[in-house]
Amino acid sequence: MTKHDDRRCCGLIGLALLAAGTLGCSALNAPLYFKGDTFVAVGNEDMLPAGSVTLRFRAPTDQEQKQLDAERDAKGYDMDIPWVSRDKVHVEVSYKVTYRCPTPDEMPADFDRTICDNLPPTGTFTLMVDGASQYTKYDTQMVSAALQQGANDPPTFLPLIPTVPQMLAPGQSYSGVVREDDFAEGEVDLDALGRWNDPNPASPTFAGVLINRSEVSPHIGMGMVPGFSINQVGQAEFNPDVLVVPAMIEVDLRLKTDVPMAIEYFVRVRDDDDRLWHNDSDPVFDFTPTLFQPPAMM
Amino acid sequence: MAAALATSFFCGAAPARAQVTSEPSAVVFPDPAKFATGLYTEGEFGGLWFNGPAGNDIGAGFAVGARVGYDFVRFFALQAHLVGSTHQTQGDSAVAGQLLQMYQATVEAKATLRLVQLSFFAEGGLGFARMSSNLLYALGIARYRTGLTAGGGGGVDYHFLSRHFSVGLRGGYYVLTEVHNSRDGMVTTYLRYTF
Repeated sequence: MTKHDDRRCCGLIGLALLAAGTLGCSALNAPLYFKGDTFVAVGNEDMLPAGSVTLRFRAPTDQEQKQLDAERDAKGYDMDIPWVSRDKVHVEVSYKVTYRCPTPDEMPADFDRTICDNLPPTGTFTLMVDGASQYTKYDTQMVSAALQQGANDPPTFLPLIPTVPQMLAPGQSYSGVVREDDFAEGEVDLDALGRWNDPNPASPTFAGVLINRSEVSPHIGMGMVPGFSINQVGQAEFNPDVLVVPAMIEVDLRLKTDVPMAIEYFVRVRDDDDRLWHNDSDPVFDFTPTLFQPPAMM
Repeated sequence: MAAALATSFFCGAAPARAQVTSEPSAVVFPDPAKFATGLYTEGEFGGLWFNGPAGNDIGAGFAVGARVGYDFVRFFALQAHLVGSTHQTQGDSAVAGQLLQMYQATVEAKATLRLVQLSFFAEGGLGFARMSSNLLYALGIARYRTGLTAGGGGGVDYHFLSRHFSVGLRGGYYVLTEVHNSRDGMVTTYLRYTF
């Protein structure tokens, strides 16, 4: 091979690498977006208006199921390894809330249109995120009803993933993101409430796990979760690598407002292992989560 | 002996100086025939933007690409073109600020007019465009992530006084069939290597 041929060969190899790299990048970090239906809140509802997106996944193959079983045996805890897991499926929600009156198509039948003629100068909203994994479903509205002591008491909302309340002027919008790490925390809370619920009144999972961050000592509400332990000096420790956390398959949004507002949102999913269902020939993963019921209802 | 040395030292001839006895030769331009035909590759970078509905939601972005082609004769070549660009959604939608990449692969024909070191060219072709995510679908302005693309453009090339290298500036405009009524424009600068 001559020097000239060498150069040619190197050039072609470089070009091939560039092409392969470019095509390879197209498969990396490629999220999928699912648009949720826009919904409106008229303000101060007892039943919070909600929207939901349920993701569809393909069922695991026999080989993949065997791998899950083998991983469960290796982990050494007496629960299944979730097929839709947090380390493979990453969920995020992008939303925009607008302080406006509902359009005629959006307007509830009992909506008093005169409200729109004299809108307050500011309105407040709080977005709450609930959802379901393949094992457990959490419903803020139902939990709130269970916690309510008297009929006239104001409701207490303990969403799986809370957001900071925001104020808006009429016509103004607020765009925000419920990030992947917010979902990661919500997902471990949901699993703790569902599969590793500690009913012991001395260390109850509910509602401490919702109020406190799971990775922060003393890991309140995580007592039954694999990876939790008490060390020799009596301090709580938690190893997050032990538990394979199920990811949310259903994402539920609730909008609490004091004035009419509308929310549009997208669910963004990064699917590391190609587990989302997109091939007609694949069977859809079927899941029937158990609705979490707080102790007051049990 | 001493007298001879002294005489040589003091009465020696002055140093000889070179003398131009003919006109300098003209600058030798590279022979166009040596780089106007054959295999070549190009690496490019620049900017890419969308026109049409996609342009309302997707911002302009940075583009990097490569071409490999073959000049069959001085004025005609066939080339394969691969370019990737990265963009951010803009505007007032709930997904503003999300990243999106687009990859375009086309096969193109190229016509060139060479004027010594400068050359002007026009090119056009067709191929495929693929989006890295279904973001445009979610926004309701695309049906599929992958679609046909066709378009063309032109530019100018400047050849160094070197056998292999030249640089240039080019622009192009492509129709994206799967993105509703949208096109993309591209301006890049490139380095070309002729084998």
